[in-house]
Amino acid sequence: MKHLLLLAGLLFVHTETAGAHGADSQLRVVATIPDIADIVRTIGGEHVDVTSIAAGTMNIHAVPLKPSMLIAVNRADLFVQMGFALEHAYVPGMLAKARNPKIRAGQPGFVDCSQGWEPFDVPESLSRSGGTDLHPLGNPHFNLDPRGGAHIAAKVLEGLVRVDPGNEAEYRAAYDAFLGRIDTAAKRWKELGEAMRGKRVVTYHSELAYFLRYYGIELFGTLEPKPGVPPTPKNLGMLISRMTTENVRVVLTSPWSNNKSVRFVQDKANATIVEVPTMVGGVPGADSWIEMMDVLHESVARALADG
Amino acid sequence: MLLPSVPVLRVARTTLGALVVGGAALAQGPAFDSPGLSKPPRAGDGFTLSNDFNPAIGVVIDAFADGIATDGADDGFDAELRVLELNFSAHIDPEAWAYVVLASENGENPRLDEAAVEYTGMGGNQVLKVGRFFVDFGKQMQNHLEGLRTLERPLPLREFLGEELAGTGVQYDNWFAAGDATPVRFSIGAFASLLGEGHEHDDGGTPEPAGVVPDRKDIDELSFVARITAMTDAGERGLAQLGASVRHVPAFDFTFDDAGLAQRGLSNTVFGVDATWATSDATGLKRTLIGGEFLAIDGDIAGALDDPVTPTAIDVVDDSATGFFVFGDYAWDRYHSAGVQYAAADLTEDPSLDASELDLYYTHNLTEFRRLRFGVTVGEEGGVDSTRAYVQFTNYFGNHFHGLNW
Ligand SMILES: [Zn+2]
Repeated sequence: MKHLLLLAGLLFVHTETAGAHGADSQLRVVATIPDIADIVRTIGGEHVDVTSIAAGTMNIHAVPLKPSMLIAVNRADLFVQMGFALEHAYVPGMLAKARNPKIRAGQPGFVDCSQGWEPFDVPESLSRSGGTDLHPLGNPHFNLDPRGGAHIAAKVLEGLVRVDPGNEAEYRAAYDAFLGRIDTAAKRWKELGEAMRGKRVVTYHSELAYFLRYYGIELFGTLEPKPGVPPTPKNLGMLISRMTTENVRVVLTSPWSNNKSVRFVQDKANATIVEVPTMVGGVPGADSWIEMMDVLHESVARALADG
Repeated sequence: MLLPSVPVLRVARTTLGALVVGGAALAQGPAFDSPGLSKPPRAGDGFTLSNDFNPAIGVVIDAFADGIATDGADDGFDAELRVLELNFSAHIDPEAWAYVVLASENGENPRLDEAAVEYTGMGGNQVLKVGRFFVDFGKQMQNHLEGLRTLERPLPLREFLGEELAGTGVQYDNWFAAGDATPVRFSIGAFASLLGEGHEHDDGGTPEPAGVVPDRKDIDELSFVARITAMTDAGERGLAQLGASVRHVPAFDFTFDDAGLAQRGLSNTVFGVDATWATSDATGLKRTLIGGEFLAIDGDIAGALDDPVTPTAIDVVDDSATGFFVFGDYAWDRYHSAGVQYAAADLTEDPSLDASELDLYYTHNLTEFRRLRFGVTVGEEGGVDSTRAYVQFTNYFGNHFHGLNW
């Protein structure tokens, strides 16, 4: 017992000194998704060192955590999440364990991008009788709304200025430049969007709901009966028969959901499957938020033009 | 301990799992867990994600049906209520969080499994835990039964530590970073009593002496558990973890009150090392998990009456025994996984005899909160073979939190 207490004492001393070094001048930022990480990098420039917890190819509702993430969160000056319970499966537990008082909810180092965003598809009740609902506070995938980048950027700017007011002028300049690039891109997107208006598509998960609504594209159905509930044979059968009857041929899937249910619908409904990015890095060429949105617009426009 | 070798009839044990009282369960969230620990959902059927009420409450139902055959004879089928668990949790101030778990097995009166307060006000990554709680030994002992990958706790853990190992005492827990990718965690706990419960071999109801710990003890008679574990990134999406644990009971007695028998001043120690490796594909959904633990127990490891009918003494086994288990588990999406586990251990009653278990299981998560598992356990104990097939159903209701740690 005495030896164990001694060991505990030594480890304790190690813990106390571990945080003392590594005081470089960059702000350490942890973002939950690569879209946020890209925008933090864009606005923060050389002043930030950014880590993304999720990779773009993943299902954001089920992200496996790495040990280095715990340490990154423990040392972070700023933590930025999407919100609307998108990250509820892993962020609260990790924040609790990482024990970083700077980035607790309500602290200056905590940024929730859902603040000020009007969600839709908020469930009227959460009886869960039909199983889980991964969107209990409304659809959280507003990173795929053409206006989402600017909204996230505004929240990131607020956060950076809060924790590092000394560089506010640089952050604001980078933010303004980013909004300018979005404006330019939005002209390209609008042109593609006009051609898509009134068309109908099927998706696997309701990740693209904001994107589709923005351009007046009808979300004809989803392979998942509810967000997070896997496709059932009954649901797929009904969807396929509706698609066949009403001649809906385009199914949009993200990299994580391009599975055998998608191919089943492809076969049975003679559908065109299009894999689109749902986060930055999800498909080749989608390396920044603007590039990802370019790829998304072009992929959907091409599919709907053919379909 | 293994499969009952007398004919039994069982078809479905129902584990009414956990009523979680923990209003703050959602604010707190689950501990940062690592592959190989169960990951119970925090909010189950019938509840919203709101954490407006405090404390939060949850229930778990865990039911199973099984059929057993021993050495070729069909022992039949049965259904049982295994555990009904009721679970409460709440923040009692910003730096303290409490939870209570009541469990009822096979429809019996509920017993207090855990009732603990976690205090984080000491700064850094330190946690002080006080109360009655499942000890921090290896990666499986903190879990309640319904949270395990397999229907039963792995064989060497049951044999050396008991079905469940709750201690009443205090535990200090801390972690630090060794570099950028390797958190190291350690804990040490001192407990009034740490004798396992539920260690049972089917021996036809032979009376056995009870292990007891003296009521009042010196500080060096307190039992303790210590653990140190480190995990690190392994490849782009992988994790490797190593751990070592020890449980020491420095002073306990075997007593048999019916005949006024006792053996006093006994002690034993269990050591364990564990290793876990996990990885996923680019989607994060296809996950592979491989792990194992090796255990050794040394000291006064068992006690038996010299004569079951007219006992005159308690014979104590002063010896050592070892055991291990290894497992592999593959999830091909969020809802389907399958695994295999092999376990073997010396029997503490007679370390020259051993037992083994091979588990094959397939788990279908119907939803995040509802799980169906089909499994087969092929066991051997002291030369007697048995086969058990089961279907297990687990459903979480309400907010759910157990004090799991990686
Ligand atoms: Zn979603």
